[in-house]
Amino acid sequence: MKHRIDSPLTSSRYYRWVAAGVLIASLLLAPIYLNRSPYQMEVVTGAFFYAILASSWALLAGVAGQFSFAHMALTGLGAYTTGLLGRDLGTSPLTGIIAGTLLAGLVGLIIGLLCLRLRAAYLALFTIAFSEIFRIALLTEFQYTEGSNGLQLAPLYEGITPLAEYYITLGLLLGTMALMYWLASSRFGLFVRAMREDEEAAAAMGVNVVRYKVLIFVITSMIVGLAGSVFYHQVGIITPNTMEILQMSLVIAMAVIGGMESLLGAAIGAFLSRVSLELLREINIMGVHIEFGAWRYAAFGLLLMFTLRFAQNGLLYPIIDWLFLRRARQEAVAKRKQAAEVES
Amino acid sequence: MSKKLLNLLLVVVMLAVLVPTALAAPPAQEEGQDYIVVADDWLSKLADKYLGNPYAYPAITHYTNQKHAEDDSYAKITDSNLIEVGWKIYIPSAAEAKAYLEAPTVKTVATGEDTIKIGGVGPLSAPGSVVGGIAMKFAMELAVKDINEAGGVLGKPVELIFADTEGLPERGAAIAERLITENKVVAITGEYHSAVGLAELEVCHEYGIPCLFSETWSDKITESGYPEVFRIAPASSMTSRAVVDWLAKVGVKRVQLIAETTDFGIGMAETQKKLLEGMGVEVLDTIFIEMGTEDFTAILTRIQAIDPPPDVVSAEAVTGETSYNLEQQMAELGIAPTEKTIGIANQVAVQPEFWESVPNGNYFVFTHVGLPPTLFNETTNKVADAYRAEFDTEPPSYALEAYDSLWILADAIERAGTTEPKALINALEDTDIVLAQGRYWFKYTSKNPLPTDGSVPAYMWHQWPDPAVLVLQYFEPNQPGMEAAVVWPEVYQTHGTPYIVPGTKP
Repeated sequence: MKHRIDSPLTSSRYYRWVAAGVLIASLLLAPIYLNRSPYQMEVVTGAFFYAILASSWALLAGVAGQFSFAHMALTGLGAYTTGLLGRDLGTSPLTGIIAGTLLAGLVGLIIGLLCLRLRAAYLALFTIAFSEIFRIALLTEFQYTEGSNGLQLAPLYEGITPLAEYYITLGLLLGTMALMYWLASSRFGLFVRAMREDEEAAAAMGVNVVRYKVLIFVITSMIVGLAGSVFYHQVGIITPNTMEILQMSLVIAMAVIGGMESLLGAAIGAFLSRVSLELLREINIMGVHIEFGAWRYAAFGLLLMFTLRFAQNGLLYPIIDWLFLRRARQEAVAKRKQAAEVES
Repeated sequence: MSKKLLNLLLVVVMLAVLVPTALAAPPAQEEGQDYIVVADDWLSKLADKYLGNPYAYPAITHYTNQKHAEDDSYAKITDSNLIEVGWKIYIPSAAEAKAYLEAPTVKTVATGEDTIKIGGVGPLSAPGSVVGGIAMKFAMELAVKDINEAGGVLGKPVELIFADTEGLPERGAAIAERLITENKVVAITGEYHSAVGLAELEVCHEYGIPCLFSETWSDKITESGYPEVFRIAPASSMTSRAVVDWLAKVGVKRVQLIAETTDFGIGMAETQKKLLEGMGVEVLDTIFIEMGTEDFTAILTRIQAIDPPPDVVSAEAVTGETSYNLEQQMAELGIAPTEKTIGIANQVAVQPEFWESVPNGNYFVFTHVGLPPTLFNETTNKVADAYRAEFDTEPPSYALEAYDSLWILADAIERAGTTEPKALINALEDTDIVLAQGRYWFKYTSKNPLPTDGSVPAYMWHQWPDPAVLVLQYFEPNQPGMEAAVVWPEVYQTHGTPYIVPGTKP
């Protein structure tokens, strides 16, 4: 009897693993198509980068309930750290990336210690200010940072190919996603989720709220610091433009459209948004040529408004939920019912 | 059947769908072969089938035509889009195709295209400077219209494919990649942001496609030294050199600099001091002032006490309202401009407000980037009229540059007689054409390499030597800034003199 209750749950989990496996396999095989178009390869690689940013933001905001606007700034911090170290001290990209990641984590720790004792709105305000100050400092101290001319970064290694860059970014995405999923599903994830729902209640239950808030902030800071330092080594140059609040809003919008409370939803949302923003540059329908220019961003804004009003869970999360999680839920309910019946 | 097994089957099916398509790119053939065209064949399909890459079709065209030259049983392919049943063609081996395709010259020779495609790049959405991008796009479209009305290039119309770079280097690089590999442009031009330009030029270099930058100032653009990279905007260093070169020409001996205590002021004073001393000019101790100071009597009395008086007092490194205050008091106290001492004002002196705050400011010298209307030629006026009609304002230099850049490319393609990149680069090096901003030419090219002794800065490679970085001088009170005399550089002098001594008329 017991066996029969357990097995459906296991099979639904199995089903999810299979779906993940197929997704990963198709991402791994995609370059066989993409190899024919260096442009598409570059766009998809860039989309992975945004997926890392959006999913880590979803972990911070959606799972832990901490609204931060410092994501792009910390990305830039990672990139500028490795760029400046490489230029002035001649360190290797690897050393630079490690330093960039650690420094982003350290700055994240300082921001966290300073404002996470306060409630969400203060973190948001503080991080907006931090991002702007950082960006302006980079522009003003142009003798050291090259200002708006951009700081050039060495390639990750000599003779790197677009294919290698694709796999490196994909690896980074999969690695950070795995780490974040592991975190979200651990005891730690349970605590931060409890904290998001009701901070007082969580604190009353014995969760050290501030410590967990700081910790999750440091972790996501390091993730974006790492992503930024690796990605901009591939681009070869970074400018303060990258850190405009607008770019940050774009990442947030991507995460919200995908589904803020779901890491996978946010990642896929960012991926699809980035690719479609690129595809929508211009379209040819039956000989009619339409150039969208900046209007595609306006359409993106409309989509965001629609999402916020009518689909607070995001546009993709409900699909993921329907495809994979609904079964698990139904099975869990069925199991409970069955157990109750057995008991009675 | 258990659910587990069903799911496993599902995976197998999905992989079965994925893997063959993934492996569908067949192992490219090891040896070349003759092939007789059958119905429904086209070159990219054959290239895909035998070479594993549909974009490799130009290799088939190339080798078939090569064979045709020796043996006319092979067809001659004049248009890659048009092959006929029964033609004997030669499909090269993978190695041959690779060798051909990797010679950067061929990648974009669009045989049989009915237009000549030129890629335009610039920011059309934030965080890029949208105003700049829109102006550049407008000017380029205007140029394309004019070029095509004049009969196009090599008998074909020019087509502009303008792409938004968003002011982000990663987008610029991706876009350049798209323009070259998918849109098959023969050259790329434009760009507003230096950082984006630096990312784009790497892509152009990789594919060997000429890239003519019209508005990116960073020295590093042309310092790259790539054969593909050309620029018609000034390099940043050229703008900071303008006044120094002019002072050297006028022959001054002792210079007093005044600078504001900001990064800009300190940086500018340091650069000018270094450049001036390098030319053997004595630079007196720089006086630093706080922004917002209104009364400069103390420091000006100090300058007055210098005996003999300096040849130049420069307030160029003081900005905004503060510079007006300083300049008015300099003039009032009779320090500069005087018969003995040249007075240099900050570049905001070009504004009409200058005369409200500095009524005694006659004979002040200042710098300006871009042509004043007194130097407009017929083309400039034509572009300026169109620009005014569209935007209701004077055309900025980046609009004129964008207009000219299309013409420079069209001219080079016409002279080269082909769009083949190496020939086009070669023709660009020989550019000598008068357009909206004056006469374009490139001094340091593969035919006249940069001297190896470092006497010429590296940014002069493929750099237009005469961008309008001007030194102007007022010679009448209340004169509009754009009517002041251009005293430097010599090619732009409006009154035939490098300096107007106060009290005289040119």
